[in-house]
Amino acid sequence: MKLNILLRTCNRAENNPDMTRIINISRDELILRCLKSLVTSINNITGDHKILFRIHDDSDQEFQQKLIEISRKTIADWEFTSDKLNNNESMKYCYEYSKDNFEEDSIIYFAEDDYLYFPNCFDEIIYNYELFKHNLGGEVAIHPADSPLEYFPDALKSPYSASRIVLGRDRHWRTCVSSPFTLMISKKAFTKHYKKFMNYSKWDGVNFHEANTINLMFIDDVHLFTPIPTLAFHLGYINPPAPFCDYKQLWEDNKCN
Amino acid sequence: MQLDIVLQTHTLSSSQGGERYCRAPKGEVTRRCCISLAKSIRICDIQDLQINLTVLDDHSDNLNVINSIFNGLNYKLINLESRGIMESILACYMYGLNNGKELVYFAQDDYLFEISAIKEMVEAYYYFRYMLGGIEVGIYPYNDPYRYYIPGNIELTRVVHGPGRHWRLNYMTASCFMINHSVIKQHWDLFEAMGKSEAHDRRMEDKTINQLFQKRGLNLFTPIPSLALHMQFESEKDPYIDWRKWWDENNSL
Repeated sequence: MKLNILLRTCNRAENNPDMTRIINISRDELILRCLKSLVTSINNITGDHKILFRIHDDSDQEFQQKLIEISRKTIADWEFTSDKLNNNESMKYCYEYSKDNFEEDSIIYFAEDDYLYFPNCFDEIIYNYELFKHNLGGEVAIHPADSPLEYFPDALKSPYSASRIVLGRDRHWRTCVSSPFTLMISKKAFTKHYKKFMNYSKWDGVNFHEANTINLMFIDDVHLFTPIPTLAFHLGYINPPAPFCDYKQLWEDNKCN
Repeated sequence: MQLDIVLQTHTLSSSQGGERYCRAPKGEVTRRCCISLAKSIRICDIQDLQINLTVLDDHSDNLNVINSIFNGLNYKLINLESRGIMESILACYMYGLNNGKELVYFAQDDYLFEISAIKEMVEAYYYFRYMLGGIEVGIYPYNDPYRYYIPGNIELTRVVHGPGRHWRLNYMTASCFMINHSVIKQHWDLFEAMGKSEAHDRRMEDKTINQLFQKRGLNLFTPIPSLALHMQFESEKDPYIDWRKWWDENNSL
């Protein structure tokens, strides 16, 4: 697999400054530990894959050095770029960059800086991406977190809440119709639905949000899978970030010196 | 609250033939599975829950072993006059019909249980029934991998959070599952038909008890991951749970 992992990071501002994350810690610490977990997970990938890890950052200079220090530990080819962009601009930049630069037969993993990964995450998602694609024949996407939002009453009442459960290599997986920015998808499917991604990069929570942009492709075209139990935690505002899994231990395991 | 566990035992042979994936004789399978059930009953500390265990045995060769495993529990042994797996299943159903009060769990002697299984099953039963506004639910603790191997078996379903793990709606059970006594009474025709099925009819559940969940509006829930392992064929081996660890842990009480 040719896998391009495109991570966007920013320590300068919170998207939701009025809300408290489940782990009440500085944004610097959050990003560093999440990045460390991502690098560890990339380094645990087995098999013959060509992996490019690209970090697009909008942090202050001192912090950038810390990011580079951790990124340097990856066994993948990696690049670090910097630009001053707000959240939507950064999403747009990632999408435009992917469209213009990644090979047509490659797979893209769009990543955000507040996801904490289990060490086996990337090995599993690569393996299962190929397994599901082989089994289904069509386009497949993977979101690595088993989001609690999928189990909220509103979600369960949705006409799209029924899902299929399948066996992956190491756990069960379910189909789903909802993903945020963090997502693995083929360049081909990404290009086909590019307009939806661009609309998503205009996010305002009212006129443009996941449900009326990128999630539309999961209804009738791209098969989206998420793991049960989770392979990553979104360290956002919902506690627990994924049910029945210990994020606190993983958080401790990724402590940076 | 009362849970009646009606356990079907037979230590001498396997009704469906073939070698079990644990490669152990049936008597040893029964012994370890009974130990796992006894442990699971003992650690079930749900307040005000009385658990009664009744073993309906089909001519096993060493009942002292079974008696010693369940010694100390609210337990009684009934020696069946009839022989054969379907006769035993029907006898268990009839026992549940005539003696059950609230929750009844029909169990078999080749299911190895996670220690928390009985507690989680009871908690899940009450939780899901409450969440569904009182509509009756069944609990089948074994997440059968066979249900995922054949594309046609991968039906649209719902995944929900239970008290301690994910659970999925299921439409297919085996003869052993947990249900409210009122369901046995109300739908006795299906239980009776199941008990009177031909032992080698591969569609016996579909024609009988599965209709509870496919046609009669009840909901069947199965845990992810599984709370019990069916120690039978290779195709039933759970792909993610280390059965040998569970097996080794249940060598003794």
